[in-house]
Amino acid sequence: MNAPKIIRGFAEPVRDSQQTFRQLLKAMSEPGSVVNLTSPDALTHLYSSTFAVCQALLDQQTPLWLSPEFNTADIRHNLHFHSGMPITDEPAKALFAIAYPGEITAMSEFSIGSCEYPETGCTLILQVNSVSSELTVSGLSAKEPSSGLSPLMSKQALTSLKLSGPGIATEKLIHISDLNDVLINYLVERPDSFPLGIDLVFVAEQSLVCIPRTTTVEVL
Amino acid sequence: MSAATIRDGYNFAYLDEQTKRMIRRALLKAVAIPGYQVPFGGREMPMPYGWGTGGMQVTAAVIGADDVLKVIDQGADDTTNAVSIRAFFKDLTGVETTEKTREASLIQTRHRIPEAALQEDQILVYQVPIPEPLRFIEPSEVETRKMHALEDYGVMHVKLYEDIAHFGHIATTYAYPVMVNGRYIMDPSPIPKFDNPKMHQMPALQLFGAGREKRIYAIPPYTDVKSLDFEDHPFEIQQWDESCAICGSHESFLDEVIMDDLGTRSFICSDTDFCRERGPIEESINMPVDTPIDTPIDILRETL
Ligand SMILES: [Zn+2]
Repeated sequence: MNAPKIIRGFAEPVRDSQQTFRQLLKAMSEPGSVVNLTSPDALTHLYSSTFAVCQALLDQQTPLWLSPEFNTADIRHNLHFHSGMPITDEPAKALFAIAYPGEITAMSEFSIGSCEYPETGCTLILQVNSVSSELTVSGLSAKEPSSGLSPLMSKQALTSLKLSGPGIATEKLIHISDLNDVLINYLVERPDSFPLGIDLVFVAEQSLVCIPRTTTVEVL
Repeated sequence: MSAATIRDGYNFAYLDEQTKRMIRRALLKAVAIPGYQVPFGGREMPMPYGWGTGGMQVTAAVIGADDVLKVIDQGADDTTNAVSIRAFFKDLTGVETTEKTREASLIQTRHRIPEAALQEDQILVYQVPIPEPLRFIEPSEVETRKMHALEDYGVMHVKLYEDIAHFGHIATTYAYPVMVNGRYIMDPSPIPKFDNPKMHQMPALQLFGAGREKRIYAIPPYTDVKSLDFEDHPFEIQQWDESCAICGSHESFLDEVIMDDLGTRSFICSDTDFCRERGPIEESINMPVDTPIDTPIDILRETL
């Protein structure tokens, strides 16, 4: 077996971590807002955007769970080289987790935090083909720049969600590809009563949208 | 980015990258759980706690080369505390600074919310001396954490009701407790209760940093923030019969100041940028030589 190849991380780590974090802060505080982010190289099938999130947020203090698709020698080796985070086999012990939506079979595998320390709930990072949002202004809809959405891509792959709650003035319409029933049920049913819950980050190739535990979600 | 303008030998915005990451992770959870106090760790700022180190830690973790920073203390940009913090970040980030609320992308504040309505994509960072709103009722951290977990806020209502029984009204005028998103009781920091309504559904992001107790909390944009009250004693803000002696404003928060050697008293806006932008009503106003500024300890829960 070949030794895993180390890829380039951020060109200027201090600046690029700050810029990536600010995009994440906007996305997490304004659920449904699509933000852009990137890193010089993708890490095999881990997008450069997902890799940017890892470089900005993860370190020795953040146990990470990788789904089978992402748990490869290349990815483990590079993430460890660039961020030094411990990789855990137990999703319940992970503060961060990376997966494809289709790999999620039960949300109950992840930590929802405790009533006294709800911030220990997992941040689940899900790689998808596309995320995009629409601003509905008095009946007219104006598309925000979407990413990764090829015109040929089947419309059926997209789920349209109406979001409301903290961070959203009235409501927001977003489209996310590749969602499965487990995720949709979790978002709509909200089985964990606030402040418990899992905060979701949907990452496309160069963009990202967050749905934290406070957001009320309706499928259109 | 103009790296050349940053003081040699220091990291951008002073803090090391690991401390910034810890604070950044805490901030993301804080916005996901509005009003909940997230503990954080990491390196300290190089000044004593009374100087707003918690707010500075938050600003240091958030600020980037493209930001335009405004720092206010009691509404003014030119007090010692505001000048020092502004100079610190200018020195260690090279960012542009401003006194104009509208031009700032990042505003660090102690004791006031600007009068000009804040906009989307602006961030307001509050310096917080005591983050726990229940602390003066319950000294134990274990107990207050349990009270927040169980949403057991009866004691807070009892305290406010005792005020009413004693004074005929709720006597708290600073750090007046609020309920965030219908779930967590939160200390808005020692701002006058006059500013509380501005927090409700504010388009800007509000971040709070407490240095001594190492807590971060947040209010995302467009979030409900309700000042605690009772049906028969609704929340009310301070009002003045006077108007600002400089700009004539009736709507702003006014400070009482001594205008001359004879001890003539007058009222002026505490938000100096707001006052300047409105402009003087007449030329002949004698500006006070020195505006008395309370220390954090003086003003902190002065009514409790
Ligand atoms: Zn004035």
